[in-house]
Amino acid sequence: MNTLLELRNIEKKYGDDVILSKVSFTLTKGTAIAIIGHSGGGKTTLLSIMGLLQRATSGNVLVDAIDIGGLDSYQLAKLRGQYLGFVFQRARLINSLTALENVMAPAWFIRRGDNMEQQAKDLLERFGLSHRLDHKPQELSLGQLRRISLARALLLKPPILLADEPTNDLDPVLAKEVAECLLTARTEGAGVVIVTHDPNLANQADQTFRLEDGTLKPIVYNNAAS
Amino acid sequence: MLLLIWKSLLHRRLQSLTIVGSIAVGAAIVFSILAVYNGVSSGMELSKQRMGADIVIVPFGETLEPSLLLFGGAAANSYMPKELVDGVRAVKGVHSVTPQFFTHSLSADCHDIGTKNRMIGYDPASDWILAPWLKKVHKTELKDDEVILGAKVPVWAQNKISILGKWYNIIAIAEETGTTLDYSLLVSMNEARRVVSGDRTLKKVWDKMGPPSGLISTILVKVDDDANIDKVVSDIQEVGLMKPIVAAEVKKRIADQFTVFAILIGGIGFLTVLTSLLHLFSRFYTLTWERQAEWGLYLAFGATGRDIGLVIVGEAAAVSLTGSIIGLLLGSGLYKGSLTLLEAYQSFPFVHPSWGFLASIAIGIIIVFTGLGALAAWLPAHQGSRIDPSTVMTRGEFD
Repeated sequence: MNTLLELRNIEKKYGDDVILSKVSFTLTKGTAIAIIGHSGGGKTTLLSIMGLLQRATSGNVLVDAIDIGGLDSYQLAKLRGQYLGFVFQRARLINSLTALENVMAPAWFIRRGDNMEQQAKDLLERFGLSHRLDHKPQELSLGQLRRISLARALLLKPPILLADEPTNDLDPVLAKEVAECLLTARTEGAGVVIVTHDPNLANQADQTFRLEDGTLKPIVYNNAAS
Repeated sequence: MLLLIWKSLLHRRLQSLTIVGSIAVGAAIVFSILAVYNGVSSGMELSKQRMGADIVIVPFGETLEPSLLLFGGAAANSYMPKELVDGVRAVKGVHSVTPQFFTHSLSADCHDIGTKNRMIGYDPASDWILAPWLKKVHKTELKDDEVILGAKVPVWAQNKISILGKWYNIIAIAEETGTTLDYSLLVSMNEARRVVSGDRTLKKVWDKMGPPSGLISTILVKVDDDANIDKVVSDIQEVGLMKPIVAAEVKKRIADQFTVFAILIGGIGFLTVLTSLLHLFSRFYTLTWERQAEWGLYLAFGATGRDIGLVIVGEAAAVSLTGSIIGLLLGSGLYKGSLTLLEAYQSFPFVHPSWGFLASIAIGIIIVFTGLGALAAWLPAHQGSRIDPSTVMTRGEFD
């Protein structure tokens, strides 16, 4: 079974406002999906639903064939820890922690204690940050913060990686670097969902959708890159 | 998670220190109040059991405060004729009497005791104060080179003590009584009179009142159980020029003063603790909302609501624990300082609390303050644990 994440007829309403309507798609292992659309169009809401951070008004979300509809908040938290990695729009690092500690933070809650520190160091080294392990976020550049955020998302080797505007505000060189890091996760079998405004990034995905008027429309099909 | 708590507290260092400081002050006040109050209560109780006198009669011209005479160990060199003892013994309602003769030790050379303590000569024929200690060492009376030391008299050698250049064998060290006896050197009446007869500063007294062998300093009186103590006091005053002090009244006055003191300082302590807890509550309540995005991030990592609650309660418990431990250190200083201050103002029966008692209130304060700190953070923790995980996607930057 290659399906990691499946959305079936997802609908999301805030009061009378329909944000998402009949959204369906499937994310399989080793593939990347890009979702583009204008600001305020519901992309972040959709990503939140995929990330089990909020519930849809109707429809089904299945993670590794598990329908999350009947799960309570504790079970959802456990599922997030087991299956999902997030790269947020901003780096979202904890200012009181060093770069290394920020990368290790997810492991503190999931309690996968085996050699996590070494794995975190390896990731930071891979992203060229081995000399910044003990630096606090306020001592680092924007690009470094993004790479730390990415390392944090990859630490627990999540099967599903969700990225919200990962290249937003970055210069082209840095954006390319972050995109490469993100899409490399496909080679390790992860499914990647990227919400972006960046057409270059969207083009590198295996499949691209446009979120328009609450519905998801496939617009471009790229050749599989994995 | 412990690292997360520690780092977060360090990151908000000033806020954390403010709360630690206010909790420490509260804990210090509570600790010192409990220790002082326990010492006074024990002193009151012990003095009741061991002092054994209902009325203490001193010479008419004695100007020292009754509390200082009974509990302070003040060296009193005032005397009255020993014939008054028989007159007092004959008063109706008096059960028993025993005279004592006071002088004081002075530092005469380098081997001496080094402090000025009251020296009490007792009357073996009528005494009931020293009898229990003498009985313990299988003696009926003290020889002229023997001494029983009060519990708070400093001792330099194991079995001997030098007083005014003469070496005495220490027969026993009395248990703490919470009274003036704790600061006294108890010797035979003859020895006390011999010591004082050589004191040139008192020559004028002997010239005026006669030789020490015909004088006493105090008469301790026990009254019958059914006697009217006011009537007994009035009748004693008829016997001659004397100043009877009703020990129970002095104790009651001191007890009343301490109750007021304890209520006043205890009230301040309570308000300090309450303020600290409100401060703690308000800080964590505010932080819970300010840190919504951070909680959301942890929830996205897979943390449960319970984990978030534990982080918040853990931070509160950590500052409360630190504050209460620092408070205990401050409290022991405050205890000694306030005791010195109180003793300078008023003599009172006091028995130092045992280490066991101090340890138990220290542990109690740590548990109660840490528990209350955690409790104050319970509501913020409860709210923190219910935060919508999607806030991580929508909220601004973190602190």
